[in-house]
Amino acid sequence: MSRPLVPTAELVTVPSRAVVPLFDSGHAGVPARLPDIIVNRHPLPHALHPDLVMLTRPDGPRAARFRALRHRLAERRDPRCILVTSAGAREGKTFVATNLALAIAELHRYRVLLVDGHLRRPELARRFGLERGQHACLLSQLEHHREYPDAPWRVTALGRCDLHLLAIALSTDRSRVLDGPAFALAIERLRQTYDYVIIDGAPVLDGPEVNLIEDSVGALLFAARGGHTSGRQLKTAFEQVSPTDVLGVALLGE
Amino acid sequence: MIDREEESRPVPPALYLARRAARHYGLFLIVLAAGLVGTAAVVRFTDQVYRSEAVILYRNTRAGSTDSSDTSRRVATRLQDMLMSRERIHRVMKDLSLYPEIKNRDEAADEMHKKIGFRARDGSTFLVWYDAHLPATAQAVVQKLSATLIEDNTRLRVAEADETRRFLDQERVRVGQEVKVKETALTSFLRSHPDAISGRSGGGESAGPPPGLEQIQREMERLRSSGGGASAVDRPDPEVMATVRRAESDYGTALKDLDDKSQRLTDAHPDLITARARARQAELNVQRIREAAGLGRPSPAPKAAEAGGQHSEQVAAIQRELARLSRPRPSGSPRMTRQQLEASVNFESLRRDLEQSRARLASLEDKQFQAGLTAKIETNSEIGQLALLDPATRPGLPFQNVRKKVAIAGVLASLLIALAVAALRARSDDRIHDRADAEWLGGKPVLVLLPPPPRERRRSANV
Repeated sequence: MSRPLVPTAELVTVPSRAVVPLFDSGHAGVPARLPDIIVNRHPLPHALHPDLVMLTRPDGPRAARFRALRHRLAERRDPRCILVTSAGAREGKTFVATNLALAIAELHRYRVLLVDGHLRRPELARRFGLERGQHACLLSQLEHHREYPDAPWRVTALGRCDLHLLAIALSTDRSRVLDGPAFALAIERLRQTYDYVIIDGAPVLDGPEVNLIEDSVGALLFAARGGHTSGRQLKTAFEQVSPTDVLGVALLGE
Repeated sequence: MIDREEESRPVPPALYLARRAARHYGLFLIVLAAGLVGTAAVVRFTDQVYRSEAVILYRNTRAGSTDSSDTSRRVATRLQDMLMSRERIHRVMKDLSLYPEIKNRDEAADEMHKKIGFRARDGSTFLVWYDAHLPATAQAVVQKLSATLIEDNTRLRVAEADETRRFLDQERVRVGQEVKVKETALTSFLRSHPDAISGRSGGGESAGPPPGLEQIQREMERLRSSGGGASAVDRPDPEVMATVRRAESDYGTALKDLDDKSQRLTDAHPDLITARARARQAELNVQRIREAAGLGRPSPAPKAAEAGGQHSEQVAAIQRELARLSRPRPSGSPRMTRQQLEASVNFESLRRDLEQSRARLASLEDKQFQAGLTAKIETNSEIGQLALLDPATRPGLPFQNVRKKVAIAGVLASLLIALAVAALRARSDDRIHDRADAEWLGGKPVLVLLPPPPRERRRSANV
């Protein structure tokens, strides 16, 4: 028996929202069930990361801005799978991705999944205080699903918020390369379960990760930092991800 | 720090660029401060310029001179050339020890030349000025320049007048001797030719020297004007008399021409015949006009009998002489009349030469007087050609305030340079600072403006 991916006890099976008829050769017309989502509940740490402003200061101006971003995205074709990226490093991608996901989740109306897509600098586990072993690493699951494509996905739910997290373990070997097709397939499957999938991606100009997975996402949202992000680089990044839909820019002040 | 949402609205390119440049106000202030400091240093070490001026008055001291060449423009040109002469500049530099730092004296003179000014004001006054870094220097230079200019001009004028006077003295002596010589010659001629001016051949004694043709006419005029036999009541009005005199003048001219031709031509010559006819016609005109004027024909014998005395006899004699001259000379007659005429001509020539010499002598005496007067005037400084009307004063305030100009120019230059540096920095800096930058440089809309993440964990935010 294979070692369970998540050693903790509480597992919740989340049925898939979309039931896709699957006809096998022996049983025509009998629908098949998609793999389930196994949710691992984990309490939020006492000392929340200060960048999680939707949790630390839900009434603050930053939280209000993220709610406004949520509203604007809903106005712009309401994309359900958003890859948050940037032109270069340290421009606020994780800050935008985490708080945007929390802003959508706080409505308690949608299932929101936040996925760590930055292989070389995974940040979600750190932000949410998840140590190794306390969550199922995305990369491990991708490898597992190569062999067992129908295996359920294991995600982490934090406290009482409706946000599920699929992070990359902190100790992951950063020299590894993201399996783009596997990642894309995973996103495709997860989108069937969740209403919103927010991916904290890698910088466009730092490597090919974004180009590998951009086709599987609905749209791109760029994060930029005032006084830091180069306009020329930003424009180059836009051209590099073309023709994928770029929703716009979330600009962080200086 | 972004603290409020900004609505997306298009920004004009010029305003956008200005805003981008304004972001680098720190660099602008630094460059501006550096420029202002540099300007202050330059102003501090900039020498002020002081100008001292003097006014020179010009007077035309040539009494009665109407010399149109001495116009104000020529005077101004002459004075300016004298003022700016290198010799004068060298002299002033030496006397006042100017430009010790310039070894080459010619270069120093050129430098000084640039600072000397001269201008004609209203044709009679001239302004001289000099710019220097010290008020005392400016005043001293202008004083020296104006004083030397007046002195040199006076000296030249006096020398010129003295030279003129010397020349005139010499000429006067020479012409005086010439007059004496000619008087002697004329007297000798008259002694040897007592009848040189008389047409009478062995005639009776006459009171004075026998008149020539012109003399005869003048004598006639004199006698007539003295009222020979006619009272003032009987004289016609002046206009009539003028007409009579014109006719007599024409008559005299005709006689003169006849006399001249009779000496040169034979009786058969057509010109001589024409001259005789003209003289006769003129005589008839005189008679007609006199009769018309009521003066009557001046008949010698009855008039002389009525008037009595020598006066009438003189008039009659003159008339006979005129009549004789107008008659054609009979052929084969002896040449006595010709000799007398030659003597008369020679007399006239000698007399004319004497008169010309006397006239020249009189002119020389007049010029000598004027030259002496000019020299006298020029030696008197108060009434010389040039006088110092307004002496040079020590200036109290700088001329044109050079430091102020330098300061203003420095401030403006600093501002422009600081703006240029800020603009260049803005152009080279393509970082995004606000919504306009993101949309302008990136080309995509900004969905939200977010405050930066909390600073406490910003360092660990590995995004």
